[in-house]
Amino acid sequence: MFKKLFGALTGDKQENQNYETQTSNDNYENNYEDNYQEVEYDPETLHGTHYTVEDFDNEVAERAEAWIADERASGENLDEKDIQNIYFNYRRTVYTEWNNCDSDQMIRFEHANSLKYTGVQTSGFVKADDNNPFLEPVHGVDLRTYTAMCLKISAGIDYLEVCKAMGFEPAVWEELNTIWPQRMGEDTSFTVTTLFGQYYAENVTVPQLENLKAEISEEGAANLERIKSDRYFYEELAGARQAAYEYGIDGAQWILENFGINLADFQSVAMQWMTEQNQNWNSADITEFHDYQQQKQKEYAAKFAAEQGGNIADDVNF
Amino acid sequence: MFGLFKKSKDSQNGESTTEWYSELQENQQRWFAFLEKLEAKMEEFATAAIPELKEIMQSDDDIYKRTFHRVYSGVNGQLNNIREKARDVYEEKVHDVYYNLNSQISVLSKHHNLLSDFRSACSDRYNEFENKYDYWRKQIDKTQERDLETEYQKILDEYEAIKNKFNCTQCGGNIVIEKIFLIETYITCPYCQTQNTFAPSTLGRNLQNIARNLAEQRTAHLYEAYEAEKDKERDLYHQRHELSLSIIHEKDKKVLHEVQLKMDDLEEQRQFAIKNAPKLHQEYLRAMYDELNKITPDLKEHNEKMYQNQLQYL
Amino acid sequence: MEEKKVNSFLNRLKESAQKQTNYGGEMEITEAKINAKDCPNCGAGRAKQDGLTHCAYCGFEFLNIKLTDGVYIKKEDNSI
Repeated sequence: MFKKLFGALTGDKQENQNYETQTSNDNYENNYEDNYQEVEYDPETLHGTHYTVEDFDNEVAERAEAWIADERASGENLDEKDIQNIYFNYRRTVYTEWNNCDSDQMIRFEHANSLKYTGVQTSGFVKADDNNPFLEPVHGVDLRTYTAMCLKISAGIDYLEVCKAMGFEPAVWEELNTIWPQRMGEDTSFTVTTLFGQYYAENVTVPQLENLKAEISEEGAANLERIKSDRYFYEELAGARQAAYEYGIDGAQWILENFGINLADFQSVAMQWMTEQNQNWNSADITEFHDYQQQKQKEYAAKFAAEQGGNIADDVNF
Repeated sequence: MFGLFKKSKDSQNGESTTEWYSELQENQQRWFAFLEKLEAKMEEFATAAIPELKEIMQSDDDIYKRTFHRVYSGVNGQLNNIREKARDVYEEKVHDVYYNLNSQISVLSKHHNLLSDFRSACSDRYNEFENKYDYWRKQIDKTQERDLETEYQKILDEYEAIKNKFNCTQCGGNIVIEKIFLIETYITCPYCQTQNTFAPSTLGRNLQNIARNLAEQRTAHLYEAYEAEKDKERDLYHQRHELSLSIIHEKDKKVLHEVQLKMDDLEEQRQFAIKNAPKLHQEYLRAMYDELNKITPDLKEHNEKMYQNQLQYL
Repeated sequence: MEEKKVNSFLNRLKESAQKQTNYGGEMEITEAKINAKDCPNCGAGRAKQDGLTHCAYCGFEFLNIKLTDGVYIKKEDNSI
């Protein structure tokens, strides 16, 4: 039925308005009288609930294969990449048509389905699957626990202390720290890497490690809270850190010395903001924060430059 | 560039171009001079920095060469600063000026070409600057190369020196370290069966970190052969393209036929290069991974999986 | 005069880079070492055939995990 409703539509917005000529189903008629009626999206797939995913995939395949046949008939040679590209573009077209949505919503949809359609995960949308061989525990330690250990160590806690708290010997930790990164390299869907990133962002911990706290000053703790809740402050520090590297200063050390925040905590917050950005994709916000970080980077760069006696090209002007 | 002056003389009886045209001329001259000064700075700075970087790489005894990396980042930071300066000025004095005037002067006006010539001259000169930037960045990148053969030899030498020096903590029997262990591990005493833990030295642990780069260094010639094949394909494409342009207005059938034969031959060669490049790429990868397995045989299982993955992206 | 500026910048860059603390502290260069862990409960050593995870004499738990096939450690190293 749904196909009939949209079968006549070619993506031309004008046709969209001609409701009288469409065969109708009482449930949907009212929805489409108002062009800007809110579409309900499935929370997991972000597909509109007014059609099935199967219908969607079939429509995309139908259009894509027709195009591919045309191209081949006119002598074009299409390889795997070209075909994937064609499907990619038709998915965007059909999704936008069927949901009458803006590009931000379309991108959120792409992120939620990146594994299904492109074979690669997106941060914020990864689910841990017990049957995934890449996620099998190593020496009984799963990825989440491994990440929890990494967080403590990057925060400055001695790895021997962490091993003791976990109840195993350093040799085991060294195997974990070899094999988990190996899995990240071997997994072409990036599930292990992306999931690790998500756990890092969540600042995961396990009961055995809860009592191990990295030393943090009062000022550091306050600044840490601030970068978690104040995006502008986070972007300022991220820009400052970039500027530091450009002037031969170790950015991570500089952040620790000037704001009391260690690298693990900083990276964790960075991942949190990135994941949130993926889940609530909004291009206007993204541009604003990007520009703000750039601006701050320039400000701090000027300060660092002054400490070095200025940039070498300061005396060259238009 | 001198063609512009000629045109302005001819336009005496046309619209008055003097005002905006002299602004364009001045901008263009200043832009060229500005870039030249920036390029001189880049060269001066890079030429001074490169030997310093090489020296620091040698003298930095931190195993991760962190002092080197800080200086390296700082040097690139300055080059980047110069590059951004050029970009900002281009935006303001070429790009914006062009678009401002473009909205006032019709494309049909016979003086519009002065405006487009201005933009293409400035943009071409900008490309030259970008090429020089790339060149210096490449030279600076080369300072990152470590003498990995020497570092590897140090690891091998250290292993030879220590492999017979250990005794079981329980019974005192001599334990031979059978290979270079990459991480802490358990070793069984052959006499009393006690599990001892063996912790490799910092050097031994570092083997994992240099292995891949060393394998790549040793097989670099194969990688270059692959890159050369890709360049060849591009070169053949351009040659054929030039030929096809050359016969656009050709009427002589004999010449057309000859050129067409040449074009067909070039295309055949190009198609061969297209098929050959992935083969050369695979040859390089197999050889590189074989070296890697020689250097770190304990990681062979993982290495083979990585090799298989890379084949998918040939 | 130009040259002076370039050289002085480079020198300052070098000095500042050399003075800085490496994040996470200095890397200790260590030698290879051999050691053994005796059971803190009964003092017995660990023998290969008894596995790594538990003491064969008193059952003390050395490693509270189940070992799988790793780089050097194998499944067989689990104590029974």
